[in-house]
Amino acid sequence: MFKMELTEKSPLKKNIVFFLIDGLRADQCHGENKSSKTPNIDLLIKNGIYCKHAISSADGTIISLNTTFSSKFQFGNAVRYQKLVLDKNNFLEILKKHGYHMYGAIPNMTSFKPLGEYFENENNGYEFSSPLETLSTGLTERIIQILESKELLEPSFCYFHLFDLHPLREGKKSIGIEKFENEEFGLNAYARTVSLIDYWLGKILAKIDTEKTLVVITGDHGERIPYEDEGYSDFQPRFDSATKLGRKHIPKSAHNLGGKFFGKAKNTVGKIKLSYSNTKLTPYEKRSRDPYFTLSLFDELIHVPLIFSGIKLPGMIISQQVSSTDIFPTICDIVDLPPINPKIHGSSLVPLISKNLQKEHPIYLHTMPYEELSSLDRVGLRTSKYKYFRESRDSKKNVNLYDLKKDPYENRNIAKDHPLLVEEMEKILSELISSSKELELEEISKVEEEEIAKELRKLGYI
Amino acid sequence: MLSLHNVIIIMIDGGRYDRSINSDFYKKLKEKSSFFSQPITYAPHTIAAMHAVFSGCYGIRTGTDSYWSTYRFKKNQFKTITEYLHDQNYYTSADIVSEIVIPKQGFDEFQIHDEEKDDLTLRHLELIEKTYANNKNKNFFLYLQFSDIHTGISNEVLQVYDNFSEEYFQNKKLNKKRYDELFKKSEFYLDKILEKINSLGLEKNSVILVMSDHGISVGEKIGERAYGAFCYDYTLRTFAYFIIPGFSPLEISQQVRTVDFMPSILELLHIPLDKNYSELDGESLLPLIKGQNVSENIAYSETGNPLEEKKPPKTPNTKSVRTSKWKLIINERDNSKELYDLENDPAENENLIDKNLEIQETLWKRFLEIQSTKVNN
Repeated sequence: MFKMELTEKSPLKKNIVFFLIDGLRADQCHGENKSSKTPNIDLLIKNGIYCKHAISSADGTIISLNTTFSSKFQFGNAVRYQKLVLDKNNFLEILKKHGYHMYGAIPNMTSFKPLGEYFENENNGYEFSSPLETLSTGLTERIIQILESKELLEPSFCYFHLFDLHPLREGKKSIGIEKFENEEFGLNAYARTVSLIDYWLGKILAKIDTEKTLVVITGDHGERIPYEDEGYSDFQPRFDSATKLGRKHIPKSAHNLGGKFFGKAKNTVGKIKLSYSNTKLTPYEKRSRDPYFTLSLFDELIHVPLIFSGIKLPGMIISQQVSSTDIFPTICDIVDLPPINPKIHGSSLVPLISKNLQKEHPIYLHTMPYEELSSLDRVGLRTSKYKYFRESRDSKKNVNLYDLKKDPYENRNIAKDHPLLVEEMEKILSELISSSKELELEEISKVEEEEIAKELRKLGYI
Repeated sequence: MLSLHNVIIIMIDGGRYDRSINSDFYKKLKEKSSFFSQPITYAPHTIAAMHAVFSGCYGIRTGTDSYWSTYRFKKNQFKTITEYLHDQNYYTSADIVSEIVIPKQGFDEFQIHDEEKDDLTLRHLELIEKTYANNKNKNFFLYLQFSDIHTGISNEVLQVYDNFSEEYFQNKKLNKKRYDELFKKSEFYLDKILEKINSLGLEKNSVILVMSDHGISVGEKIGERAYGAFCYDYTLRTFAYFIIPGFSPLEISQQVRTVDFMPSILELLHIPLDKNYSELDGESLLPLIKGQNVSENIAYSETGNPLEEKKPPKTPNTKSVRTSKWKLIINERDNSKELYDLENDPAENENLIDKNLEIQETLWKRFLEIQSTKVNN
């Protein structure tokens, strides 16, 4: 069996390098729709485990990371905060308890602070804005420096959070993309940026001893790839000359008002043009042009790649649906840590690697929260066969059901045609939520104890 | 093969084996049952005992190994009989004394009775009628806990004495009388319940199991006024009556384990084990019910002796491995062991530990093997 081999060959604790590529879609890493050129990622997949149906529970970074580090779904508790919440049972804590030294590079953002506190290297925060530090602009060197540092103690856990795909959201190009701007590296700006990321990843991977290091690559959520590379903002008129003239001839006190006018005009014209251009597109293609902040539980926003490679893992593609909550239980299992706390939603994928069957569990989905509740807030679940979601506060509104086998792009909402199936999915969702309440209860040992004590008292045992 | 096959489990909480074999009512029940006279419970208290019955696995593996560990049951690794039946489209219903005594998973209906106020006979008669009426075209699983013995012991013993009260241990006659009166209530209850089941024709299409989860002390050993402190036979040995249409009555006197009940029912109903879950500790008793010879398995039991404390401990500290003939008890609280020749000393009075008996080493090795399956909670 796989695990036995590992144990016998390498009694020492293995190092772990974890790359989180923000916004990386699964279909741009592997599979027939991939147009990016990624020889380094391909090699990792060839020499490791690739989970082709890995699902993030949220469409946004922070919630996704909370579910990943805690291995718990984001049921109305702390993991649904808009900041990283690393409770006492999170997996970094578990690794630390087992002697792992933590290092990393993360964006210099307040919401990432709790993560940075785990890292032993001081320079762990990189510039997130003005301008964003990317692999092409210094992050590669920063990462290599961390990995090659003489101060790095083993066993080590290194976490690198890459934001290289983020500029695309605002229609910006990555620095250094010039050499990759042709069809050889991808059919659109997103795919070509993935090729660029892979190029730099290759430089970093060359510095990693994969014989004794487990390399993990995943994404926190997916991203929209605008149809024909034209997103919603591309349909908005720029009004450059009008703005220039206005700035010159209108008094300064009226600039604000003028700006609002042009902004509104831009949006209105943009929407009309977009709507006209979208006429013949499928729902999937239309969605691809939505503004990047639109909440969504469609697969393009939650289907991510997941690779475990190195330390002589067997080359294998896992087709079963897995969750980002499974990532850390799997890491711990691969590096031979003792059995983990069962009070989590994720589970180790090692039995799948060992070709043992494992029951597939529905994955809870919930859009990321904003400060004010959005009417687009959705909650639902995904099985390998169906995707179900609806308004988070009203189970009867905006009910969506997709047959993922027949309709992988989620173009046809079949909810109205299958009321019984909707009912069944809603039941599974409520069970999932109520089971999590039990889990939360388990987690709070004092509450658990008090409740049990009350029952035991009632029964006359104490 | 049965066309319809409901499952009805009637659990006589705290039912002693010795009282059942001397009771005229239970003797009659035996005449129409596959009667197991030596089922050994995993734990001599309801919570861990019944989690083991429902999962077919010892609590040492499922996580529910004490009074305190209901919520530690590893539901992703162990599938309960309720979940198996629910998956087969059974309507599943339970009426129990507290929500922590059995695993909740898979139940459509989960009712808690008030042990002080409710008339369990009336309540369960109504529940049987209602379940029958609502499920004429559907199988159902009904789990009924008869808790009156427990209630009586709780009020008259647990809350009055402690495990070392001289007044209690010097008054065995009164203890026996108290228990016998409570046990008598189970006869009345069962009589009515089984009569109702019969009148509705449910005996013809249901697997009915009448069982007890553990016995109760009447003052046999100082240090245990009721149950849950030691691993002696007066609490570990239980009874089980399987009433199955199409099977001839017989008595099976060899040792079995209560963890064997769940796989037995599944096999009777032709429900295969779900390979996505952990393996069971229990094995089907169907060959025995069919009159075949099957070798006996060692029974493992454990409990948490509260010693001088008022609360039971969170992890077991008193454990035993048992065959029909021998029992080895391991008292982790003081690192002592006890060995009993059950055939010649069923009351477990003469400790034969370290008397150079080969069986001691055999049982000890088996004990260590079982301990190695323990999971961390």
